[in-house]
Amino acid sequence: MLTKLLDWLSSMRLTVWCLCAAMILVFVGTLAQVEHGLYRAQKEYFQSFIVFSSLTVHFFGKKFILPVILPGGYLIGGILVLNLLFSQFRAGNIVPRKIGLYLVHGGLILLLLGQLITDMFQRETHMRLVEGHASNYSESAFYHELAIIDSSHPEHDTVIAIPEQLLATRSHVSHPALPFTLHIRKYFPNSRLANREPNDTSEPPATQGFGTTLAVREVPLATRSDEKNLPSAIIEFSGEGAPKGTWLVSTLMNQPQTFTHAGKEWKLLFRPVRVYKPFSIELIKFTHEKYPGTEIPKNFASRVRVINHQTGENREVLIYMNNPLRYGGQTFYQGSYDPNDPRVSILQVVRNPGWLTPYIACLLVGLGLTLHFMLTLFNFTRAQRNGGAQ
Amino acid sequence: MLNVQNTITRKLHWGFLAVGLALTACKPTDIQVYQVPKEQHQPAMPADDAHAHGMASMGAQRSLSFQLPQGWSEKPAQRMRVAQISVPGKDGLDAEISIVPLAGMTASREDIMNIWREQLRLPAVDKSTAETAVNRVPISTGQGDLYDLVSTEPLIQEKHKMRILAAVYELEGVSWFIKMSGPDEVVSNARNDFLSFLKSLNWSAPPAPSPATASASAAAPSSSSSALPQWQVPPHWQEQNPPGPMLTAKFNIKDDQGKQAEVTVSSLAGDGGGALPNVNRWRGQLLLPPVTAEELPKLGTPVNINGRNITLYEMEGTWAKTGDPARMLVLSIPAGGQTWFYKLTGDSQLAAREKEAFLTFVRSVKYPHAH
Repeated sequence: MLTKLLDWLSSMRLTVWCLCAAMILVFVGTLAQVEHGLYRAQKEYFQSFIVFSSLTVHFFGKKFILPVILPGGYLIGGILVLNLLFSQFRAGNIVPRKIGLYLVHGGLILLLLGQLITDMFQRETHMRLVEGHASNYSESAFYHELAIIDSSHPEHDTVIAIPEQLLATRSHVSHPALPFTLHIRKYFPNSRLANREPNDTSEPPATQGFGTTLAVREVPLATRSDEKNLPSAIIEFSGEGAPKGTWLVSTLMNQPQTFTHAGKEWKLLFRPVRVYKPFSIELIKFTHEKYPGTEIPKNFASRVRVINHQTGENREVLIYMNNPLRYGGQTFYQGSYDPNDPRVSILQVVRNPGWLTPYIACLLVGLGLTLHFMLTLFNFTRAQRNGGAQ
Repeated sequence: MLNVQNTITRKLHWGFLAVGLALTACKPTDIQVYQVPKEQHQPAMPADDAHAHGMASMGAQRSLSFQLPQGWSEKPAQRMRVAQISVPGKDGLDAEISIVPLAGMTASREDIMNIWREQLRLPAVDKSTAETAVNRVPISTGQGDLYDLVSTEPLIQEKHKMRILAAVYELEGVSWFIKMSGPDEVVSNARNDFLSFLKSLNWSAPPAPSPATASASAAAPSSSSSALPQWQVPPHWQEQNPPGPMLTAKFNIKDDQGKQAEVTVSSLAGDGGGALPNVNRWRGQLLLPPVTAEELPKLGTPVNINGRNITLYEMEGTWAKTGDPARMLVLSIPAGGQTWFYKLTGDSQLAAREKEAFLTFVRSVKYPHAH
């Protein structure tokens, strides 16, 4: 039984099945991007073990919803890694003349594992900098958090950041750092706000804060890669002395709402997830060149100052296209700009512990192919010579 | 050898289990608590207040008095209103009266009626129908128009039809809108009290020439149709005719993906009320908090309009009209004793793409009295 399993795991047939499954997955996953958007399709199809999804297909003017059940990217990749391992290292299969192939397969395994590490641990955020100002945090483009901020201390704020995931899945949230319990009355994964009409006699979405003057409506989830979901929620507090009424929190409003509890001032802000850093980056000068007479960007460059009070570091760096700043385990790329404000530069901040693996994998594969070619050539010429001698 | 293989397989098995657990643990589901240095926020501003800024310049000072019928109560006025009154009905149902002054209103009866009909989800009517539907009633010491409209659908709590009973009174270039709206039963029962209330209105003194009312008087459109500027409209802009109340022209823009934007042209006498209240009013339309006079210069960028340095205000926010993320570009150009406002509002990306066409349009304008 075990031998059969090992035979199957090390068979070329499994390799072909895996590659075919990967082709189908890539094809269906690409189609799904149209309906679900790039981010969701990536999560559902490529960063999963099993795909349970659906696909809307238009055929002869009719709409069909097809169920999609496929092995996910992690499963196919995992089986491929096992297949590569077992095909090479099975008993009796290890011979010195195949060292090149072992290196090639080792490189491929490293490439697959590296991608897994990147998927799991890479964190991509954005840092918005205004000329003359410094920032010590970057923000996520996808995830949001409800920040409840105790601003009573004169020198610092204490932030209790509740991930959007909890607002979406729980009816209430409590935490030792919170003197009250938060109840989620309604959650909108993607929403829009509007002013309430003067004659609107329906109930406002909330009884406190800016929710009393606005109307909130849910809209379909964003599917295009240049759109993003803007969630909102209606929350309520309970507990001794907790603020009364319901509150509308929305990522569409970038100003905090305030309330008082037990003599302390608290702020409430639904915002992109922030990643704070133990250092600051100040934008000294942002250069944004366009091709003459057009809006097409020609060159971006940000001259920044890295300020680290812990190490006493204070130095200037020029970040431009293909010349990022690597600092504190993160890479700061020149990402974008604000078309409304020429003083604003947006840096893409990437933390990827597996960034070296593709380079090492490519080296291994290159070395393996060279070795294999050389050994084969050597064996061939030796056989030719021996044949000629006979 | 088999043992070795077993060990490898078991290790891999555990390895994949660990990978699965790590994947689950990677989702941002944990509550984080941390301390950060204090950050300077702009003070939070409710949307109402945001709209009150600048919009106040459209109205006039409160020089109005009235007698409230029994049971009616006055509430704090919000937005553009100078007064807000609650009219109680049965079963806890209330109607509301708002009094709003608008300087220099040029909207016709048809425009006014169709705005309210839209609120009641009624189809628009033509000019002759609107004219015949309006009654003249005594208001204060004179007479004004009375509009009486009721919805066909139950718009209030999905049970009650909605009625609008509204009067419009012209006084020294200012149109006063006195509007009662609410459940049909409540508004119908309060009709006689409303008519008495209209008679009790008393504008005892004209608005004092304070800075606020100076803005109000400046806000009166002063252009006449014979003095309209000439311009070259980009071919993909669709002109809306009529443009709408207080507008000289309006152009609608749509792209292939259904995104929308609009360009409006309006003019006001003098400086048009000043940059700060106007910028804050526009910011309010994008649900943005108002700015102070010190912050104002940072918001504008100079653009060259036919040799003149004109400040372009670009704002990004939420369009109160649609609730979608939107961008607004506004240019105020003084010409011939007036200030002309050119405003591009709409979907963020579409507005960004239309920026150059918008600037070209503004540069093409030839003013009738400019020499």
